[in-house]
Amino acid sequence: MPCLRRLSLAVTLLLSSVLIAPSCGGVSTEQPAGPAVVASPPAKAADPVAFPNVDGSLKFLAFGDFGTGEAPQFQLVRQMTALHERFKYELVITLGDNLYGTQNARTFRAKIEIPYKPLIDAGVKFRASLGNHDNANQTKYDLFGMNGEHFYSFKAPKQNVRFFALESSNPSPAQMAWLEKELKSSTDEWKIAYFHHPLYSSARGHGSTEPLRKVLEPLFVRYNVSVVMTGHDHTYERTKPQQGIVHFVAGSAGKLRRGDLNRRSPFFEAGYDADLAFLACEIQGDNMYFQAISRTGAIVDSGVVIRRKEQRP
Amino acid sequence: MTGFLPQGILTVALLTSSLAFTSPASSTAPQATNRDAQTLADFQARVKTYLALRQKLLTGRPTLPDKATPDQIEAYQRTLGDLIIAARKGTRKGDLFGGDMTVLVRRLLGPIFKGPDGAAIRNAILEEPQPLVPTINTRYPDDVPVSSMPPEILKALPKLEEILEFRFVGRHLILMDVPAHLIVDIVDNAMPS
Repeated sequence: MPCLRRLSLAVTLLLSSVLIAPSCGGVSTEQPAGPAVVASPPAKAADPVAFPNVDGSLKFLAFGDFGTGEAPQFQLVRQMTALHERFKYELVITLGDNLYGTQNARTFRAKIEIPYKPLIDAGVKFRASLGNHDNANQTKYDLFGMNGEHFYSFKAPKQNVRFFALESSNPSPAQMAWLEKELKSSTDEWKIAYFHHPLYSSARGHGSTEPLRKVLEPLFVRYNVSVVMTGHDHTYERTKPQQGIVHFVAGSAGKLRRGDLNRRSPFFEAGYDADLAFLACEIQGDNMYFQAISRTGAIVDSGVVIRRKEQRP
Repeated sequence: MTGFLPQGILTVALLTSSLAFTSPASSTAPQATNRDAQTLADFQARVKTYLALRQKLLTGRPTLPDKATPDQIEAYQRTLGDLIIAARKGTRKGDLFGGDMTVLVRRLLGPIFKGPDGAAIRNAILEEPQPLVPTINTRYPDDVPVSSMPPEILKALPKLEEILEFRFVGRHLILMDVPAHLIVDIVDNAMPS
């Protein structure tokens, strides 16, 4: 992998922790210390479901900003359902703004239970985080798996993965203290944080949430978080690794801000703002394969994130 | 007083109440420290009174399980909200904050908004339109997003019981009862213009 090695050297010199190898081909079997690495997809497969898609891997979806009850939301769910027929994901993590507008029993059904019925019936478990449009009573909603908590962590049912779900609109000192304790005590190889407000976003609608970045990013770097997933901006985006961490924004699973991405943003790596999209992921060992899939079923971004490893002196 | 809550108050506040502040220390007259600590203690006492009222209203009623159905959630929140609104009928703005706490909140937050990160903090709070004139003892509308609360702001404000939260509506700071989704009290213009 000479191409990767050259880039790795450049990264070290620039101290930017960025390693992008879109044209090198193949997946690196080397695991550089420190930053998470984004490599190119394993192959440009004709079959749109091709990930590794192997037994024993952790397969999950991530998306936010979805509970509208409108036709586009349902149309995107159809793609999720079609994917599930051949890619048996067992988990959905939601990135906030789960339910827009009036929040009562009727709308929980109309905007969540009816649209996602195929996934619910297939046994897919939801683990939600709250956005700024969400009534906090969602923490008690059985389907969302929050068990009454505004922030929580859980070990994934497969692979060595721990998720950290945060309430980013209310980052209280208590929540930050909890997060540090949880991250510090976690011995999981993969640490994935998810919440609503993006620390990095090239969208013009909202953009990066800098006050939040100031408190969260140092913790994520210190405790070896490899991937951060957020919503809020109604676009899909993957950043260049920032401080060694790959950030995904997947806030277009029901709402869309067409043409909102500033592709000249310094941390922009890939994005899609022409239609709704969701993120499908598969973790196998040190690799997280991902595909962003649009409402028409097109794969609009894909690749592999190689997890961060603890820095050795 | 420089505008930041001095560390001396932190000690007093922690000793006399559950309020926790982490604002930078600054020198100040002991008299001001004592006055601010008293303001915090008074606020805490009024919060406790509110929580006691709430507890009384809930006594004998079914609790909401952590794995609830939409019907259970709606019934619980509406019932709790209606009970609190009825019990606090006639309550007025400032009933929990009080005049002194209102002044103290503005004094605590003012330097943050005017500081080097003030613009970013202000933008984070005001990023979403909130077509709402907040009214005390009313339900927070479902279709109005809640503001983001930057960490610096939350650090400067008193620590609250989990069921209560600070949020902004425009420049006004509101105290929210989270499970009931109610606006409990308001500090007008807590964010400087």
